[in-house]
Amino acid sequence: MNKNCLKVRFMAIRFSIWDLHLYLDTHPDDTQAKRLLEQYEEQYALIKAEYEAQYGPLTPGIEGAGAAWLKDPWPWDIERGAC
Amino acid sequence: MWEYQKTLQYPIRIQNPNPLYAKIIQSQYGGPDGELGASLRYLSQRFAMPTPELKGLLTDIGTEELGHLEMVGTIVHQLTRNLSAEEIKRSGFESYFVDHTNGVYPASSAGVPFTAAYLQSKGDAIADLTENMAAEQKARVTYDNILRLVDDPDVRDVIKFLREREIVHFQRFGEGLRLLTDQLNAKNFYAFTPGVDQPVDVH
Repeated sequence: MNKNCLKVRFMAIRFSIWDLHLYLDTHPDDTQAKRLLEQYEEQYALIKAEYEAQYGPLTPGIEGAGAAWLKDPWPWDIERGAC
Repeated sequence: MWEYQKTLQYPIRIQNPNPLYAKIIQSQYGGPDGELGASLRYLSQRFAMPTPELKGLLTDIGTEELGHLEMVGTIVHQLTRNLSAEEIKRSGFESYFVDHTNGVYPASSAGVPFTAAYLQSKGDAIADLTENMAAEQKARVTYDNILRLVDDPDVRDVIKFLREREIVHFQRFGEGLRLLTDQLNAKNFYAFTPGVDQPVDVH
């Protein structure tokens, strides 16, 4: 998967998790939605590692400090090459 | 607290700068129904929310709105790069440019600076949730108006995503209001401040 396609795929999985999270705020006992969330979270763990290997750390922390954290692109930068 | 995640919520890649479009979309950064007002509204109101579902809902939607603020700022930034003086003058962007150059500043499309008077935090869950449902609709209408004025597919794609989120948030606030009224006296939902005049049955 090329770099920009990896980015789009990562963002799609992250968004699916977020939207299910929001749904569960008003449907906290929906077990079907929780199962779906677990499936996405399994995929997320895999693609996050791949993403961070290409783009550097996503959040501040031990890894996310100094040069690795500062590395371009920042979210508002345009990257060359489409997916 | 919050921790930054170094991605947008949805990809933005605008190939063609366009200062007129930037001036229009600017309103969703710091205008009357924009994302800054939305995030401050929900993140301020949540302190007075009486149930766990509502505390969670306002925290989460308020957080997502901060991500949308970042997205709108990104659109404005990408639309205003590499402009010539001639393009700036021709597009009507000069009145913004003279004060802010290519910086992203919270103001409406007409140049009115952001004000907290755009929002309320009333300390009454029914009043606040009703305001929030209206706010989501007003933001949705603003995105519809942007879609009437903007042709560029790179920009429209992102605006359509943001518009959809207003609809989802309206639905969630409606569900939140229903969860609250389910716990109040069904003979008279709307005459009291929940959590102040009448205890809410917090489970």
